[in-house]
This record gives sequence, structure tokens and C-alpha cells, in this order.
Amino acid sequence: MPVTESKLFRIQISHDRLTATLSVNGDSLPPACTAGKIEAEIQPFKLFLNEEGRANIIAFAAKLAEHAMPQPMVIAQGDPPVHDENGQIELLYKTSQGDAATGEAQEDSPQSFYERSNIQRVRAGQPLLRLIPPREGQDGRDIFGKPIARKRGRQAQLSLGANVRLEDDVVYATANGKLEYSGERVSVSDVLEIAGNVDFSIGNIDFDGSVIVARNVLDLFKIRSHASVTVRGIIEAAEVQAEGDLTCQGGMTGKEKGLFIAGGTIETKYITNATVRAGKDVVVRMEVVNCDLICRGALRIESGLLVGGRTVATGGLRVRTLGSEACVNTPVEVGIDDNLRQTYLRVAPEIEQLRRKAEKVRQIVEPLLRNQKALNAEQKEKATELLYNSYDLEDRAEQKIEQLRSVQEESRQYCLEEVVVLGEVYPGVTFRFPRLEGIIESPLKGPIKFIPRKVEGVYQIVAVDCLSGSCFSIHSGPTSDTWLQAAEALLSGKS
Amino acid sequence: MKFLLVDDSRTMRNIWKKVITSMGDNETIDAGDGAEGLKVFLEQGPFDILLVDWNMPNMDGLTMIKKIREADKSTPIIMVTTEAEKPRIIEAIKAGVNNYLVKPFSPDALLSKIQETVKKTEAVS
Ligand SMILES: [Mg+2]
Repeated sequence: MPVTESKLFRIQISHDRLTATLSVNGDSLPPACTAGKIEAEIQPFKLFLNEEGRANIIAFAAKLAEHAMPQPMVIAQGDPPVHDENGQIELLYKTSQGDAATGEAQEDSPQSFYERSNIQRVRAGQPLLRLIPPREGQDGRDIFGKPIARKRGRQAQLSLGANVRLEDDVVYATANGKLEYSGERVSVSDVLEIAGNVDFSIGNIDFDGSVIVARNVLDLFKIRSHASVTVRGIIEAAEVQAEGDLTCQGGMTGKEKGLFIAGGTIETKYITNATVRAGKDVVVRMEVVNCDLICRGALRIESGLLVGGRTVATGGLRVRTLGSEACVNTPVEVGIDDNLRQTYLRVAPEIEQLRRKAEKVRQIVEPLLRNQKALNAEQKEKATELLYNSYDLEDRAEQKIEQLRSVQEESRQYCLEEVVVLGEVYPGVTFRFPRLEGIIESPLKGPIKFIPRKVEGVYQIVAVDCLSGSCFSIHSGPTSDTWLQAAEALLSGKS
Repeated sequence: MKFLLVDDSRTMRNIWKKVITSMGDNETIDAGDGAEGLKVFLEQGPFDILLVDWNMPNMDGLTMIKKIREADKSTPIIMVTTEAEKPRIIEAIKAGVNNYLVKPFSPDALLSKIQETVKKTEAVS
């Protein structure tokens, strides 16, 4: 501790220069002196004396007057500095467990363990973080009245990654996706990468961007993506829906519960016991066994097997082995757009009902129109309403027909009435084309192509040997499923 | 175009609206009687075309049209009414009606009546 001495007194000054303590210089008692004299004695030290310090000097002088050795006495005190508080980052999003900032549990927190996701999903425009600036403290003052500088606060350090922007100290997401926030860096990723399995540690996934799973998707978990889904391992009895493509490098083991849907293409090693829907092609390397499979594109299993289940391949089928030696029932529909079929099955009864209603209304209004002069004002108003109703009902029926027509036009570009078997095809396989259906009665060797063709004026399914070009008809006839003819009649105005 | 629709039947006004919106991106404002129609015409105008019923409570369509014609000679008005007798039609035309449609009418009839009126107005201006 620095010491400053006068002839009679010594002043000890604390290291932080916030305290000055007065004591007697040496061991012998100095002569009595007044407080004023003491102040004059220490005046060269230029201490900043306040009221309390002066009172203590008076007490010190009083002790000396009593010829007693006074205890060291604090005669000057500075004000310590109040340091700035560093800037902070406030979390503005809610975690799946609750409010990130307050730690409060979310009221509508999901019940199912499958739904407990650790992925922090955010939406474009959502505020994520707020940068709170450093809080300003106050400079101090030492015992000489000189300022003691406070420590300045640091701004919170945050670097901005992809898909975020900073505005008025608030960080916003600029895209839908997964929030990645480490405390120092924030970004929103439109690709969700799961390093391991999709299991209870991850929970169900519902993501706007692409999803990549490094290992497997376990039983009963759900993945939904507005883009593509890629699974490097296998998919078990899970529900995986991608608006884009679905790629599974292992295989898909549906166990009767699996549901695999892609707006685009599905590509995998094998698919067993699953429901499969694809907006485009389904490409499988090894086998498709016992699946309810509908694709708007082609089904291609060029080095593998298709057996059992039910298959609708709008864009045709190309397969190595079709059916099995055990003659397993393997129905295959090609060139048929299931979307058109479903649309027809939905709108046809609606159209029928609208037309029936319109007809009923017309039957009421027509006699009124024939006899207008006899109608009173109220009846005339009513007749207008009825007339309008019948027009409106017919309009609505017409709109539904247009809806069906646009699906039909769209489906034309997908449809290919062709089955190509590169290896073998076995009995148990049945074909259904838009107008024909046929069965395989004995095993046939490929490469062989099945297509509808007019033979002696009658449409039949013919098998064309791809090597020799020779062809023969298989057992076939008009299809028993006549929805397409009915749909065409509806569209051409014949029904 | 901006339409003022005056009829005491809400159903009738809705039918008119549907026909008018089927024609394109048109604006409609409606009123349930002649007094309200007159108020809307004065306060929320100008309108491109008026569709007016004859028989309504408070103020009938003919009275309303006469009052409108005191200040405004040009806005086309179609009277849509159950009044089908010739003297009534003449009375309406004298009051300043541009076109006349008798109830019951089909949506197509209303549509062509509006189109005809618009065409005539365009030819005049
Ligand atoms: Mg009326």
C-alpha cells in the first residue's frame, strides 16, 4: 500500500486509490493539534475530503487532545467504478420443449414420444434472436478526485450465416428451415441432416427443405419434407413423404405398415410389403414384393423381380422377372392413370347429382316460364331464382367436367401401354391396359414386350419377342373395369 | 366497372352479383330499397351502371330513378322488374331508364342486357 508521510502524520492509500487512512507517523504521540491543523498538514497530498472524512479528522484530533494514540482512521473514500455489462443475446423463438427465453413449458406440447422432435424449425420472417447492447455503468472517482475509468462492455458477438438477416438488433429467418444457433453463429439451414437413425432421439420430422438421414428410419416414425428425402440406410415400417424425390440407398421394408410417398421419383434397392405412391418413376434395383404400388411414371426393376401386391404403372413397366414360379397372383396395370381414375370416381357422382338437381329445378320452372302472364310479382321473382339455380347447378357440373378434362389431358403425357420383361414372366401375372386385360397362362422367356394391338380387327394384348420381332396374342379381352370408357363418355358429352 | 344494385330481395341482388362478377373484375355495392339506393348513389358514386328493381319498400325504384335523374342524366340505369305491362315500361323510360329487363330472366339475359347497355353508353360517349 503506498504511504505518504508528513512530519507528524502518515496517509496510507489503498491500491485501488479508493481509501486513504490517516495515522500517526511513528510510535510517539504527536502534540495535540486541531482538526484544522491536521487538514493543513495533509493538504499537500490533495486528498478529496468529504463530510465523513472531515468528521473522522475531528475525531482523530479529539483523541490527540486526550493524549491518546488514535486508531488509523479512514479520512477519504473514492467512488468505485460501475463497469458496463456486456451485450447479450435474447432468444425469441420457442423450442419444441417450450419458450427458449423463459424456459416455460409449451402448453400444447406434443404427447407422443414420436412427436418429440429436437429439431428447431423456423419460418421465413420469424424473429430468432435479439442483440441486447451493453449496459452502460459509471466511471469511479479516486481519493484525489480523479476519475477511475470503468470497464467498457463488449457487444454480443454473433456472426450471421445463411438465411438470416439483422434488422434493428433483431435477427430474422429469411427462409423456412432448421435453426442452427451455437451462441456465436446463427443460420437457418434448408437441409436437415440426421447423423444417425430417425428414432426417439430425433422424433418425427416435418421439414420444409430436404432431409438426409445418415442411417435408418425406424418403425412407425414419420418424415415429411417439402423437398427431397434421402436415406442412406433402410426405411422400416415408417411413413416417409417427400414432395420431391425419395431416395433410399438401403431398401424399404414396409412390414405391411410402411407408407412411402414421393411427388417425384422413388429410387431404392428393394421395397417389400409397403404402400408406395410416386408422382414420377419408381426405380428399384432388386425387387418389389407384395406392394400396393402406384406410380405416374414408369416402374423400372431392370435387374430384379416384381411379385405379388398390386401395381399401377402409368408410364409402363420394365422388369427382369415378373411373377414367380409359384404362380403368385401379380396384377399389373399399365398405361392407366390412377389419378385420373380417382378423379373420375370422385367427380362422376357429383356431376350426376348436380345434373339431377338442375333437371328437377328445370321441371319446376319451365311451366312457370310458359305461363308468365299468369304469375304475380312474387312468383316472377321466384321463377328468376329457380332459373338461376338451374343454370348455376349446370355450371358447377360443367366445372367438374373441366376439372376431369384437365387431369385427362395431363395424364396423356404420362401414359405408356407397355410391359417389357427382360427375363421371365410366370402364370399368376395379369395385365390390365386401359381397354384390355389378359393373363399369362404359361411361363415365357424374355426379352419380351406386351402391348395392345389390333389383330384381325380386334384389340388384343400381344407378346412381341424383342430379339426376333415375332409376336403372338396372349389370352386377353376387353377390360372388366370400364371406368375409363365411362370417363371418356362423360368428357365427350355422351353421358 | 362499378355497379349499384338496388333490390329488396337479397337473393336477387346475389344473382346479379354473380352474373356481374362472372363478367370480369367488377365492383358492386348494393342497397335494399330506393331510399338506401339514393343515399348510396349520392355518397359512394360515381357508378358506371345501376340495376334497379321497381317494387321496393320505403322508396320504389321509379321514384329513386326520378330523383337521380334530377342531378344525373348520364349514368346508365337498367330496370329489372316484374312489371311487364307496356304502359309501365314507357313510364320507366320516361323517368330516365336506359334499359329494361322483365323478371323472370335467365342469367344469360341479364348478362346480354348489361353488355348491350354498356355498348350503347360507350357509343354515346
Ligand atoms: Mg321487389
